[in-house]
This record gives sequence, C-alpha cells and structure tokens, in this order.
Amino acid sequence: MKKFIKKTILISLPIIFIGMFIKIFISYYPNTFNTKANYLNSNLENIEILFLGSSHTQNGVNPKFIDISSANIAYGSQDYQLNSAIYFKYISRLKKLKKLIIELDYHSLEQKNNADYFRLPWYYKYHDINLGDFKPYNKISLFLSNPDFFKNYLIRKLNPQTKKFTINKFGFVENDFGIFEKFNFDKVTIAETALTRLKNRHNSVSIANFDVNKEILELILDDCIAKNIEVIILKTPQYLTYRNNYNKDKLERRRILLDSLLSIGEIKVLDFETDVRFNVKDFKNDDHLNSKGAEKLSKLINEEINTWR
Amino acid sequence: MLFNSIDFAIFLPIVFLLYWFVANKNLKLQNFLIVVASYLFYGWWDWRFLSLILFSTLIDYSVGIRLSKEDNISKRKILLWISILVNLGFLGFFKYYNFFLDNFVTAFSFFGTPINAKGLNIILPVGISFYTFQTLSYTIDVYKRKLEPTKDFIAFTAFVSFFPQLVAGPIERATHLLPQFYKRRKFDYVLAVDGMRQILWGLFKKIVIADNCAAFANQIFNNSTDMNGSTLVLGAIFFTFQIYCDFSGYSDIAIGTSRLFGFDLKQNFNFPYFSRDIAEFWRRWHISLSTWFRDYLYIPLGGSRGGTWMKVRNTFIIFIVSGFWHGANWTFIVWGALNAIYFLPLLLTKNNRNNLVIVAKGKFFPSIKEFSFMLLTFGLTVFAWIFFRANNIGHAVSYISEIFSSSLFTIPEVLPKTIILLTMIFVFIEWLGRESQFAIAHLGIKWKSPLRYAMYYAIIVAIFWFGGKEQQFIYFQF
Repeated sequence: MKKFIKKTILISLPIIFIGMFIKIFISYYPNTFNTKANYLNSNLENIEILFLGSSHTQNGVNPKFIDISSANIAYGSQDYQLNSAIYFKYISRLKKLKKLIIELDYHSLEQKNNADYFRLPWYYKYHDINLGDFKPYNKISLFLSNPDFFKNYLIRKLNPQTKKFTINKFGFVENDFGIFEKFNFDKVTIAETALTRLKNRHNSVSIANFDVNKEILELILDDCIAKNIEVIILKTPQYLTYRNNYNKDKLERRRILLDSLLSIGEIKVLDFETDVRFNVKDFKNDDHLNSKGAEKLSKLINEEINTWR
Repeated sequence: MLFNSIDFAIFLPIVFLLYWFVANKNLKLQNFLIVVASYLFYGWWDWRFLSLILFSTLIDYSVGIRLSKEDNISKRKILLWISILVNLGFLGFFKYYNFFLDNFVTAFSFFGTPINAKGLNIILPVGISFYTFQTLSYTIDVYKRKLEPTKDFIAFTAFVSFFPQLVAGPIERATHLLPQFYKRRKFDYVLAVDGMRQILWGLFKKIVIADNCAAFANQIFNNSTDMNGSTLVLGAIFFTFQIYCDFSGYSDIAIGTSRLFGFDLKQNFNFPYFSRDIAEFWRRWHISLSTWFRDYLYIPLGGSRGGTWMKVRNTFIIFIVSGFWHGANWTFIVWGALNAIYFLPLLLTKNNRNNLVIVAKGKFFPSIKEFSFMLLTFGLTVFAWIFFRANNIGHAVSYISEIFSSSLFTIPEVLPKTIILLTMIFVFIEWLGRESQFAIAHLGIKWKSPLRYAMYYAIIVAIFWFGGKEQQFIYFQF
C-alpha cells in the first residue's frame, strides 16, 4: 500500500508542479480581468466614474485620458445581466461614484449570454460574481473551467513569436490595432471583406432578450437615480461596414427605449455611433475602436464631462 | 459525478484512503463505506433519484429472502414477477412512457380516432437501465436457484449501488459481483497498478478520442443537410469512434477503479472494431449487456434450438429489445433490427462461431482475408451507427441518401487532421494491445522505468492537451 501511494504521489508530482505553474501564470500574468479587478478593488474609495458595457466600451475607453478617477469595467460580450451584477456588487463600496457611463449600442439590448457562457468563471474568480454553477475549485484553477481557451492563451503568451499586448494599470490594452491594421486601413479591402467578417453578426435579434435587458437596465438606472449617481448612456463609434447592415426593427426598439429613458430627464446620452470624427484609422475592426481611436473617444468623453461640470 | 470531472478526482482519493486506512480491518465497514460513497456519487447528479435505487434494493432484497423460504412454484413465480414488474415498471415509466404515449396517439390518429394525450416532463434517472438489469439478475438467479439469497443487506446494497459501475456498467451479475462483497478485500499492489493503467487508458479514450470525435460528429450530424457525401461518411466514422471510446472508456475507468478497491469486474469491450464478422462484433461489444440478454432473454425464449423460424424470431427479438434498451426512439429499434439482419445469415449458415479468438493472434499483421473481413464488418457497423446517432428515421434516411450520391466522391468539407491522426495512433495502440484485456495492459510493462513513465506522461499530456471541456458520457442517457 505504502509503495503504491508513494509511486502515485511521485508520478503525480510533475503534473502538480506543471498545474501550479499554469495556475500561477494564468492568475497573475496581467490580463484585462485581473488588472481591472485589482485596479477597481484598490481604488474603490476614489472612483468617481464607472464605465460598464461590452467589448465596444472595453476597447473604446481608456481611463488614462479621463481627468476624473475612472474605472472601465467593461469586458467582451458583457451583457446587461453581467453589467448589473458588477454594478450591484460594487456600488455600496464605491463611495465617491458620481457617474455611471453605460453602453447602449446596437447589440446591447438583444444580447444575452447563455448559462454556460465561457467567461462566467472569470467573473467568479476576479469579481466574486457567481452567475453559473461553479465549484470552489473554479476559483483555484481557471484552466479547468475552459481548457481549450487557456491552452491557446498559454501558447500565445509563451510563444515569443506572437504579438504581446501592453495592458495599462486600468486594464486597457494600449497597442491593439486589429485586423484593420493588417488591411493597412485600406477602405476598399475592408469593404470587400466585410461580408465574410460580419457573417451572422447582425443575427442576434430577440424580443425576449430585449424585455429582460430593458428590465435590468431600468433597475440599474433606478438605483443610480436613488443614489444620486448621474447616468450617461454611451453609444460607441461603429465603422460604416458594421452600421450598413443594421436590422431596422432592432434599431427602432432601441430608439424607442432610449427616448423613454431620456424623458425621465435625469439621463444624458453620449452618442458617437455615427460620429464623423472617427475614421477608418481609429478602428481595429468593424465595431471596435483601436487603441488610437480609444484615445480619441476617451478625450471626447472627458471634454463632455468637463463641460457638464 | 462524472469520471472525467474534478469532483471525481477529489472524491476518489478520499474514498480510497478511507477504504484502505479506516475501513480496512472490517468487512462491514468496507461495505458500508462503499454504500455511502456510492450514494454520494449518484446523489451528486440528483439526490432525488436515490430513492429509486433504494426502493429497488429493498424490493429485491426482500424478494430474495422470501424466495429462500418459499418452495411453492406458483408463489416463487409471483415473487419473481413482483421484482420484474417493480424494476421494469420504473424503467418503463421513466424511459418509455412518453414514447409509448406518442406512438399510441399517432396510431389512433392514423386509424381515424384522434386522441388527446399530453406527455409528461420526465427526467430520465442516470443509469436506470444499468442498475435495473443488475438487480434483476439477482432475483432471477435466486429464483433459478443459481445463487443463494443474501441476508447481508449492506452487502446487497453495495452490490446494487457499487459506484464505479452504477451508472453505465459493466452490468455485473450477482453471481460474480455479490460474493466479492462477502470477503474482506485486501490491498493488492499489482491489481491496483493495473487499475490505474486502465483508468488512464479509459480517460485517454474518453477525453482525447471520444470528446474530440464528438465535436465533429455533432457538427456533421446536426448539419447533415448542408454536407456532402464524403463528409457524412466521415461524420459516421467519427461517431463510430466516439461511441466506442466513450463507452469502453467509461468501462475501463469503472473496471480500473474497482480494482483499486480490490474488486474484479467483467470485461465489457474486447476490441470490437477488429471483428471479422458481426457475430464476433457482438461477442466483443458491450459484453455485459449482450450476455445478459443471451442468458435472461434469448435462452429462455429457446435460443438457437428449434427450427429456422424460432432462430429468426429469437434473433430479432433479442436485437430489437437490445436496441430499445438503448433508448425510446425508433432509430434504436431500427439499429437493433439492422444488426439482426447482419447476424442472421451467419446464424442460419452456422458460421456465427467462426471467429472466437482475436484476429491475427500472435502475429503483427492480419492476413488479407482477415483484413478484408475486418473492413467489411467495420463498414457494416458504421452504417448501422448512422441510425443509432440520427435524430429520427427520416434524418437517418436522408443522411444515407446523401452518402450514396455523387457528392461521395468529393473532398470532405470537414477534415480535422489532428483528430484523424490521434484516432489513427489510438487504433494502432489498440491493435498492439488487442490480446490483452485493455490496450495498454501489457504495453511497456517490461520497459525500463524512465521509458514506461515517459509513456504514462505522454498519455497524461495528451489528456490535458487535447481534452476539451468535460462532456457527459453517451451511455448516461441509456
């Protein structure tokens, strides 16, 4: 028996060591999740502006260019359920919060992640938000929550040939220029390849999701109003290839909701969706700004905020 | 709890250590620990269905005791039928209620008398088909006086709920497994090491081959109307490997785990895809179920005795029932019937017992004849699996129609080279180990330690590297 246990432990040791290395690497190597969570948690007392939204806001707003202490807690595919979970998780500790800037883009109201959405364990680990059926060990090892993703992640990070992104202290990626850079920002190529790139991008139409998201959004807004937190709806810039194929009904549903929200009178809108100040060189792909475009947008938001002060 | 989950990776060492360090001196304690562990293992999935297992256990235990005191044939028969009706009643309700209802409604509508009946929203308890057959084997064997009824309730409960094989077999016979609960198990190093190797190989089959093949089989079967013939053939082959590696992988882990606890379970798969005819395939595929049907259905029906008509009837009955056991869908019934059609010519020409030993025993290469027959049998099996995997008969027919079209001779639209390469390596290792109980049972045993360990690590790395998200085992639904 002793021999068996000794041998089992011996054979397991290298696996345990490799597992620990992977765990430490994934947990502590800077990524947008751990950097944003760390920044938020260590600046809870000072943050005055909170940005929430999806990858559009994640890629579009660099808090470095906002004069007032801000945190951008937007992540890729972050739907209103997650926005709401983050808001209600931190709101009681954000003592100085004055403004909530929440994204309301074309997709925002009709997108809803499934219960097995692959990033949910990350919210659990970094923000202690449990919207899935997670076990305590999901906090210890993120790798096991999505081995496929983390295998590719490790390859990308450990391979010296791949481009390394620079993440600033706010969790913003400062050197991401995406596929448009690969096309040399050539409008013709971008237009020609748009259909392939945007295949199925506008398919997500759901009245059921709209109703759920509307309710969640209203809950957040009501809470903000009750706490005297100013709400600003943000519509991020979108490149024309993305805008060209908008579903008109979906757009109309958003317009009606936005009008009804504005009628309350305590909500402002920052609408950059079709802003001509953004050109092809500001985008990394059809619906996301690149780091340079983000600088432009962040400065514009900063100007607007300063005007309102 | 899934074998390929972290939960199980935590559960197994804890139970193992408690079993050998706390309960090792006392047989009752060993059995009691197995019962607790087994109920926890099953309850992890859904604790509500523990009552079903407990009820079946109580019924069969009581029937067994009563049978031991009863000599009157009619009364013995009644007791047997109580056990059969209770066990098959549960199985029938949970698994087949909606199927029969739907078909009755369709049949009445067809004959011009439409009826209104709504199906129930029934959750199929995991493993019900497996433990029902296992516990039934006990009552039938006691009834036939092949087995002394047990008076040890804990041992019997442990036999019914033994966690390694509770939810997906092998379906153990009471005559083989139950007596093992009467003797205190002593730790056997060789058996435990062998068990660990079998667990490792089972995990490789499940995580590396089955789960990866599943991704492509699902993609192809779910979009079969958009795929060309060659892709559909590839999809059927992916499913062929998926189902084998999924199910035999589970059996390997189950058998290996049992060995860690000093138990011997029967071999459930014996390299079925190296069979030279369908009869051999069925001697090598899901052996515990095939032999169960043989002993408790085929032989009582008359088996191969009697005239041609009897043989044809019994063969069809056993294959169709076997198909129906897999699921409440006509696709499984057609799959069973198709196998009966494959099998019958061999039975009627008395060629069904031609290939009793493994192909090319003692040799590396098979003869051209053996290879051709293996290929033919494999082809027939792949064809039958299309019915098994299809959503309904219409889906299977359209899938097959597209295969037999000119698009068969085009390049497949889905061609995952890594998975194909991995599957080929897997087939090669299985071929090397085909004379053993499982492919790596003897592989590397005589190698020097560093080389042997390198082999273990290569398998472990493959499991982590090529493994995707944990997937349920296919046979959990049966």
